[in-house]
Amino acid sequence: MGMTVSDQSSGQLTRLLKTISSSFRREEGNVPTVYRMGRLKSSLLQAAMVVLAIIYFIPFYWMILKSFRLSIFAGFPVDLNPFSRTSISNFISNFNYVWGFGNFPIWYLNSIFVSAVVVVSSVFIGALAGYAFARLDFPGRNILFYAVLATLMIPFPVITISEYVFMVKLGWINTYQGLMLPQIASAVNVYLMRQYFLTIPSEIEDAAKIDGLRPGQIFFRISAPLAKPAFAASAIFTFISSWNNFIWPLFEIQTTGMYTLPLALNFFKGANGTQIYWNDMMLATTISLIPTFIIYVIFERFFIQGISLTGTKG
Amino acid sequence: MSIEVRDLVVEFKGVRALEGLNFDVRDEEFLVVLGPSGCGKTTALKCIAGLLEPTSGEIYIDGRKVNGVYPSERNIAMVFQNYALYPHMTVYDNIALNMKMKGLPRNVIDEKVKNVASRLQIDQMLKKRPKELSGGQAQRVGLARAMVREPTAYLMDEPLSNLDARLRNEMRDEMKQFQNITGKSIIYVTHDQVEAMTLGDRIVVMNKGRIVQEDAPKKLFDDPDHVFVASFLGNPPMNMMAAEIVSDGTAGYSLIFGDAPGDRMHLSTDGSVRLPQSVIIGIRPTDFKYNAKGNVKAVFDYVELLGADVNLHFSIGSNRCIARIERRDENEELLEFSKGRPILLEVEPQRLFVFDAQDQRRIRTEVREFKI
Repeated sequence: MGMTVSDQSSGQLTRLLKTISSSFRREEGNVPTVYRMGRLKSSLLQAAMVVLAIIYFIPFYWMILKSFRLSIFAGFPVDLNPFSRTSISNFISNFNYVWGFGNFPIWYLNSIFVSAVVVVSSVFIGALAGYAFARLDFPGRNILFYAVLATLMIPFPVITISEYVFMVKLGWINTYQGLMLPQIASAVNVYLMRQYFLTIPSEIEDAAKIDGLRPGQIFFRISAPLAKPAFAASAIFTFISSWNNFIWPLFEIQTTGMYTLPLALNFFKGANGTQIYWNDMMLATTISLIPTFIIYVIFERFFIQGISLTGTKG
Repeated sequence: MSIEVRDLVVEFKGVRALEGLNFDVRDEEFLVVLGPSGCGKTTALKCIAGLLEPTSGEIYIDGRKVNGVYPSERNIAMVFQNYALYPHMTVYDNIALNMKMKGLPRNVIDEKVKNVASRLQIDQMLKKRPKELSGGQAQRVGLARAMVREPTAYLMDEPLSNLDARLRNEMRDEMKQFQNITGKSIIYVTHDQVEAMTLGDRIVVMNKGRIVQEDAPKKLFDDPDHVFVASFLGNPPMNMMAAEIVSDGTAGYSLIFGDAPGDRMHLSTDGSVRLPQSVIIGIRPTDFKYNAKGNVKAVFDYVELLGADVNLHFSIGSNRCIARIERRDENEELLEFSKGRPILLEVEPQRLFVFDAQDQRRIRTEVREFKI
């Protein structure tokens, strides 16, 4: 689990750096770039991708394999086929144990609830703010925008303590709002949305004004529907980071009933932290990855479109 | 008058885009605003549409002052260069949106959309999305969306500029027909002088945020007031030569236009106006004739064969000029000449345009004699 979390966040970081650097280079008027390459180059690239895909796949395979085993010990299993007859009954018994462990269904629901609220509010606020930065002309717009971008350069651990103190003063420790609020404020979403709105020709909004739409209606009926790919991309980003968030809930949540899945997974290390129940932990991890997987499959098409239009483009 | 623009000034961050614009659009008039990119023509159009609030000045539509009035309430419609159709809506919804916003009943909307669509021959495309349309079809949808509003005036911002050359010619005819169908005023912004000449009842020529001249197309071409207008209208553009007067006697003026000893010309006028020290002489490419007894000594550069005509490129001193010459048996030799060969060309002195080099304005005097 720890590995996948860090992989996702470092991948996000590279994308983020790319998008930020491109924003300083060019403000608007992006022109799609078509990459053409020779056959040799493209087959080399494909080979590299296959190798990379295998490297990425191995931990997942090991995770799934482990959740079909009874052994609590680490070490590579001899039988590489997870779907033999005994292993399926192993899986069922593991599942029964994990699902009955502590408040596992509650933790699952907590995670779904927190992530859903965070995704919806963060994307909505990001869209409104991004639209304002892209379209409205107000004093201090650029300074404010760069201030928002600058928050991306501060690593979360640096502000964790002060955010914690802030929550203590608000009396929001161990509350859902305290858990969600810091995750809702997302400069990434603001940035992503702004970049996408800039690609929509302003004449379309001019036409809408002449057709009798007021600014609010233009946003909801014209610009937002056109920005679907950006909505999808920021929804997936936000979902992944909120679903996998470990540090902030660790500070914020103090009773096990409020736990989200990443905190809960920690339980499977065993009481004193010396004994790790790999099979149970891997099964719990597998279950906890299902929503991410489903969301990615549904939005993948928009997601790639959104990234290519807002991030790497330009 | 359907539209009146008074002392329109627009400033962007201290830079003046429009410097006190004044013009009128008469009822049922096709008015073309012509100028190079960045001259402020689109800015002016946006002010009329209400998409941009002018720094100062007034706009009247149908006699009503519309400063501060929301675009949809100005009783105008606009057609855009990039069509500006709503990509996520069908053609039908694109056309119907403004009526839906007004809350018209569905059967009325349906009837109007279908009526307009059949007049512009897009009734087969109502269920399509904009991205499935060709450029010409998309612009017809743009016209339909404008037409269904039944406005006082249409504002068109380079509506044909995104089309390829052939389609642009076809659509130009349709634009003229469009005015006949609607019978309303049109303000048509373009940088294309052919569109301006063929479509406009009247042309307003703009440069650097000001109106340089406004008149009927024929008048502008035949009788330009200004170097800018003279060189902007006509293709190839008018040849311009700057010259200084060195002597001024009873026999006429002697002028130099370069440093070489041969860079001299002689001209005499009807004497109605005294020429200033520095002038610009303008000659239309079509006013040159290739003639061994010609009055202009030039040096051959090259020819471009256009078919029935050639563009003859030549130099007078350091000035590079173009003549448009009809091919005939007696001038066929032009195609064989090589660069650097001296040639003689003939220009009727009365065809010359003389401008004041200081303010670029036309000096209205008839040239009687001319020789280089």
